[in-house]
Amino acid sequence: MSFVRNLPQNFFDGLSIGSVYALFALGYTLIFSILRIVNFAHGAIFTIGAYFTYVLTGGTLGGGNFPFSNTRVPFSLNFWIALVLGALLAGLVNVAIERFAFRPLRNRNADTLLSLVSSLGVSLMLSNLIQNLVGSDPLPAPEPIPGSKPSFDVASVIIQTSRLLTFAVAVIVMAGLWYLLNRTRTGKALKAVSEDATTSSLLGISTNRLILFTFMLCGVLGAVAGTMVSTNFNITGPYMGSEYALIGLAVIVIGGLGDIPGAVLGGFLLGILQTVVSSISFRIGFWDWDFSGSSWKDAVPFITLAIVLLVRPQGLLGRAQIQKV
Amino acid sequence: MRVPRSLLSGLLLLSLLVGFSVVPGLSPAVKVYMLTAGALCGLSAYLPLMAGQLSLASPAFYLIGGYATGMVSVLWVKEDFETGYWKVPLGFAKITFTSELYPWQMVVVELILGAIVAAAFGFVVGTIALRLQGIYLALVTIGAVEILRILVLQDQIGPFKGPLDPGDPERIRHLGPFGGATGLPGQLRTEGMPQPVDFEWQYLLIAIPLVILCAYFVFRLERGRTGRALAAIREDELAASAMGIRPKYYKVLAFVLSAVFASFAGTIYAHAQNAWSYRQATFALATAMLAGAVVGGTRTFLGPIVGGMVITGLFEALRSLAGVDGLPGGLRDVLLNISPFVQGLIMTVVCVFLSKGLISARLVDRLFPRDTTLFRPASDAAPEGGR
Repeated sequence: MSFVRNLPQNFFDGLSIGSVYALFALGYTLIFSILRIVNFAHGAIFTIGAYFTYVLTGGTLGGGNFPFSNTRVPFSLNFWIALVLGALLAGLVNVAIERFAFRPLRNRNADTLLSLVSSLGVSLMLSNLIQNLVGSDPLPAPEPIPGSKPSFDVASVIIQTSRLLTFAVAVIVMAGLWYLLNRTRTGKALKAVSEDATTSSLLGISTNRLILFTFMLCGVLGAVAGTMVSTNFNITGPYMGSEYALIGLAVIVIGGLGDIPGAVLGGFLLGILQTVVSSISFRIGFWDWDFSGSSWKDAVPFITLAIVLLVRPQGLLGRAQIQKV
Repeated sequence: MRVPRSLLSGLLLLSLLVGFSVVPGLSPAVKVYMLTAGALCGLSAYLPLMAGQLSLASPAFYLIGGYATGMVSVLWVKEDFETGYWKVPLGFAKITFTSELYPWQMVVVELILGAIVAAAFGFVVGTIALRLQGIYLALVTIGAVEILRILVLQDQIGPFKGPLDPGDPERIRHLGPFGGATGLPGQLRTEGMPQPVDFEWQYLLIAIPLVILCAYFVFRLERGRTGRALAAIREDELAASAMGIRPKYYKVLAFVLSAVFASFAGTIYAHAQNAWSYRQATFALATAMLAGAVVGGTRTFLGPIVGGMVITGLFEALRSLAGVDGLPGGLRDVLLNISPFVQGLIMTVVCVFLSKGLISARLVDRLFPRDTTLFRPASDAAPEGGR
């Protein structure tokens, strides 16, 4: 059975990609827990983060007739410094999104539907802006540790260095987030606002500043996820984030909207499920059908989503919403 | 910052219409045709919104409509190569249309078949999504589109393999039940989808009555019992159900109707498009449909129609502007690629500054006055300041 033999390998690959899903989905879920809205522009932040890091490491942008074609910054930073700087820059972009696309709507207490549509609009604008500034050529992966071995074997499991690093970075960032949320005053304030924004603002928490901080934080999470994905699969173009944007949404609903451990669980679950399903292939002789899981791989998050919603509408770890009259 | 609403919306509309009509590249008939498809897409996004539900599933139904066209016109109806006539094998009989053009009656059949399949799919998605609201619902509908897209991409689903690949000399490879990745007609017909018309403008003979019918239908729906029920659910579902309105029934109804309109758009677009594949249903299309509805205004049927036309017209205008001779290469590239940016900008600006959209409900009430005789008080002494 090749399926069983490949299971450890798939498990490792799934953990790696799942850690990215989790990291990325945390960016959605944090904003949702505070504002009860979904920031559809998060996928664009993912892409922007990957581009920022690529540019800061001194990479040359793609060809074509675009304003920044074939240009590069005159310096080249170490990957890790570029990752941090790029993530902070992406966080600033996210703060700008909050300022221009969300705050005006929040201030006049508009329908949440409008904020969804407005963030969808921002997402389109940002991805398209990248396309019109640097073109849509795929760009090579930045190398996290120059001169490292691309992969090594551990008991028949091929461990690709980039995947291992992705997993490690994601786990470190998530641990930092856990610390921030549970052991600092800011984290306590965040939790208070997510429980009840009005009461916490009455108690002296500056809600607007906290919201800006959350957007900054979510931008950093999305950008780190984007950069780590680009070290595995290259930068595939200005729309590389759109696939992750949809999967990330599935992740947060599967885990329970606004639930932080739920998003992590959902991310790992989907990552592992996806790699395992894509390795399945069997033959149904009666129908003369060679079933191959890899062609159904992209449907896995949404089929899982439908099943979870049917069985447990509040998500795996979510609390059931009580409708108040 | 308050911008006069009517001024802003009037300017936007006017500039778009003028821009769209003066750009070269497309014949007027094709322009109008695209606008009609845009209007149907807008209506499709609007119907769930009437009940306060954000659905992004319309591209799935649009895809179904287009595939209904492809499967009927390419896989079912056959052209007799000697006479050029079209034959419809029915199993027990064979209908022959003695015309060399693809029979328009079959276009009607496509519309109906597509609508039935889309309505069934809409019923399933709507029923699954019933317990969900807001963002959950939007996510499930995105998922439905993705699952359907992947389904039609398959080479084989269970026992279904689809037609033989004519490009394969050994005649063993199949295209997949829906034509696989190349879609329909793929390699089956080198000349593309069969055309029901001689001239492009004749498409309008199908498209314009269809749009007017649909618009009238939604207009009547909105003014009637169903429309009021949907509005009540949108404003407060709990209160509506306390008043004896069944939210489940109306929500699924809105979903099914939305599916039907989207499938109409797919059917009429597929013939003009000449080919149909899974690429037609994208998340970008879902956002464009939603943008149409939101830009036009989601309080009355005319809004999504106008908004859908505006968004479609805008895309085509930008694309054909890029075809103007003598443009510098950089500008042409930008024009070719900029339409998502413009769409996004419009979506955000409309949400932030003009949240009621271009067309207000009051305008429609003025254009099509309500029949108020039913509500007039019995005595002549109308209350002061009454409507």
